[in-house]
Amino acid sequence: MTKVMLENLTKVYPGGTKALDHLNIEIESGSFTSLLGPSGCGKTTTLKLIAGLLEPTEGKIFFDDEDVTYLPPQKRGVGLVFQDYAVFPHMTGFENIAFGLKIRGVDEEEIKRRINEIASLLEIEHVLSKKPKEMNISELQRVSLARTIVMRPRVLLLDEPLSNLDATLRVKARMELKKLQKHLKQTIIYVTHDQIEALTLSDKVAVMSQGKLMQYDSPENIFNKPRNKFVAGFVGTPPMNFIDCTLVRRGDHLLLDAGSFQLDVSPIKNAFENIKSNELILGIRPRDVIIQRETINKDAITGEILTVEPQGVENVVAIKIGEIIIKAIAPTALTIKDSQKICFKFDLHKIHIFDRKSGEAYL
Amino acid sequence: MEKLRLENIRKVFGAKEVLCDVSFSVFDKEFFCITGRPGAGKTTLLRIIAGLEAPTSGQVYIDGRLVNDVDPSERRVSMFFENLALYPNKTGFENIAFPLRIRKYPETEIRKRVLEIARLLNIEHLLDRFPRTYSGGEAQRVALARTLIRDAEIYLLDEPLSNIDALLRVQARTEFKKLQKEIGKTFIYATHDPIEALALGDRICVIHEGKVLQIDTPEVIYNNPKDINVALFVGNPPMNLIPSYVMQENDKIYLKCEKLSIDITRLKPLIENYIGKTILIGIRPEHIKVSKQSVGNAIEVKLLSIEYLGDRFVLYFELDDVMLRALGEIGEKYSIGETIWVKFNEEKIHLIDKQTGSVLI
Repeated sequence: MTKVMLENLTKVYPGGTKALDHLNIEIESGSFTSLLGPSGCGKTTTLKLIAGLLEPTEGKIFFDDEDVTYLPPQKRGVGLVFQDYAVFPHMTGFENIAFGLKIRGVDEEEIKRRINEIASLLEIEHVLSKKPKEMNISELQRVSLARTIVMRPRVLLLDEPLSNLDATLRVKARMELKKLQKHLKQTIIYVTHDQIEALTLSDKVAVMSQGKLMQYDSPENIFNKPRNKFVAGFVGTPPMNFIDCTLVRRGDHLLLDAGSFQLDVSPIKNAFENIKSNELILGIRPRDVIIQRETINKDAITGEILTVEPQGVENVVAIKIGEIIIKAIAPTALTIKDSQKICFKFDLHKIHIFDRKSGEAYL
Repeated sequence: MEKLRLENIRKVFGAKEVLCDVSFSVFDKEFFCITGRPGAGKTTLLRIIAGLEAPTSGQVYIDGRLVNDVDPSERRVSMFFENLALYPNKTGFENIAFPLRIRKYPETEIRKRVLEIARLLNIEHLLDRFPRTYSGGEAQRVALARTLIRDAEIYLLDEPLSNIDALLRVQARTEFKKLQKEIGKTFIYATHDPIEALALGDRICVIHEGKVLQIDTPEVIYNNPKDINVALFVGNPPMNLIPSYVMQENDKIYLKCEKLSIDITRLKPLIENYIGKTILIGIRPEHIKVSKQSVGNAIEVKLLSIEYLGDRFVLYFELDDVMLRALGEIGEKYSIGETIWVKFNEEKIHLIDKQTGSVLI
């Protein structure tokens, strides 16, 4: 149960690459926190700094109230699991898990007790007497995890630990990881580029881009209330549509003018009160574009179907409105064909508005 | 019009039969997807069509002509490999122009065609740069341009989007479909991602351990799979399978499990031979309705795990010791360990023969 605080954490690599730029995160004790972002965003650098494998150029790291910024890795009490789990091939599962404890001089009885506990928790009792070559990939993964957890680290750091597993095993492993965290009340920091993993497992997600923190929030807020265009575009598949538009007032009406179409946002006028700029980006998720085959009301926008991509359970369609192309999700029951003219509208309560210059979200 | 025909293609490597009696036709201007797990034989099949590999037995026809003994360069096919290799000492432009240069095209023609294909693939900015400055996705596009610039009747594409970020892949998919229409040529496209195949293909060929299991439109592949391996492979999250017992009571026929009983009397002619035996019920996650309250004849289960997709949940629960998945609506709050009620849409169930794997309905 350890709280982790990162204060103005900055890392410039020799050669001048700024991998991390004034990162501030407070990770609650016993929570599951994911660092999510594309490759090169600084998430693994952050993990290495917390582990003590790297020294920051600037900034501090606290475990509870203790400044650990310059503490060597072995004195920090962190456990680190990488995606390429390295287990000793000549040792049994038991010996592998016991290795760290033996080095620390923990007595035999205690080692046995701890290993039995962790093995039952991770359901690997049956491989304790086996050598790694007799284990399957999911068993190896769990032995590697057990070996780290058995040391009772203050903070458990996981770097894409599930990326070697196939889809079915990954679902199981996720489930076990979550169970484990709840049981041990362990502070876990998890690095991933897989948004589903981050959204599913985490209490909080830190979305990073180019060394900067883009948003640190609950999975629900990351998805539903992205703070900027980067987060909005990174999380969710198919990605959110972004449409450049200008805010115009016409009499009583408030319109978003996208050139090829205008969207009347008068019903949610209040939401626009604090928006100073007129140069905006309209964001809408494909699922929130509602396709209607015929013009039912005047709010509907007309477009032409460019492509239909069946997904089985539903179709992803690209719609062309003048120069603008947006994606929508259409139920398979709605038969649509290429080049067909269709109508659609936006669910006004689901639209996002970003500043065109800064990318910050207003709505 | 038929563009390509494969007849009884077999390929054996040592003792391993990699392709086994593969026969199908691909039409002119068709977008034909071959999908299957890694190792299913997709790449070998493409290599045989390209002429890079000779089949152990069987015939390859292009435009009605038997091409088994025709050199790859004479077949009018152009192949894109997953392990692309760009020349590191040549610019993007020269990499793309290479196939035309060795065929001694005039300079003006080369320039015109490179620019054209670059515009189509949105890589004009990469033409003057060298491959070492490219990202994985950019390198893949340049390699793709090099494949597409060749005059060919059939373009063979082996996992062309595999090196591209998941996020961009969805975007690239749409472009690909547009591209094929614009070029107006036959594409044969291999992918291990069934969703990609569904999205792109006019028709899809599902291949499993060297055998063709089914060839049909995306809709039919998804809604009426003919084989258990098609049903399990296509669709995400995958189809649920539940072993059940076929039982006759008076003049009614039921599927029975410990907690489940489904009246399938309507399917009597199909199922008669299975009475007294076990059969697999297949049902897709979207056809299981989940509610938080007990509703008429819904089954009470415990929620084991949740996967949050942002706009939907995948809910995991156990029924008679089988782990099943259903989709949950956003707006509901679910927590692991709570009790939920699930109801199958009985119209949508599939019945699968356990021994043969064939899907009866």
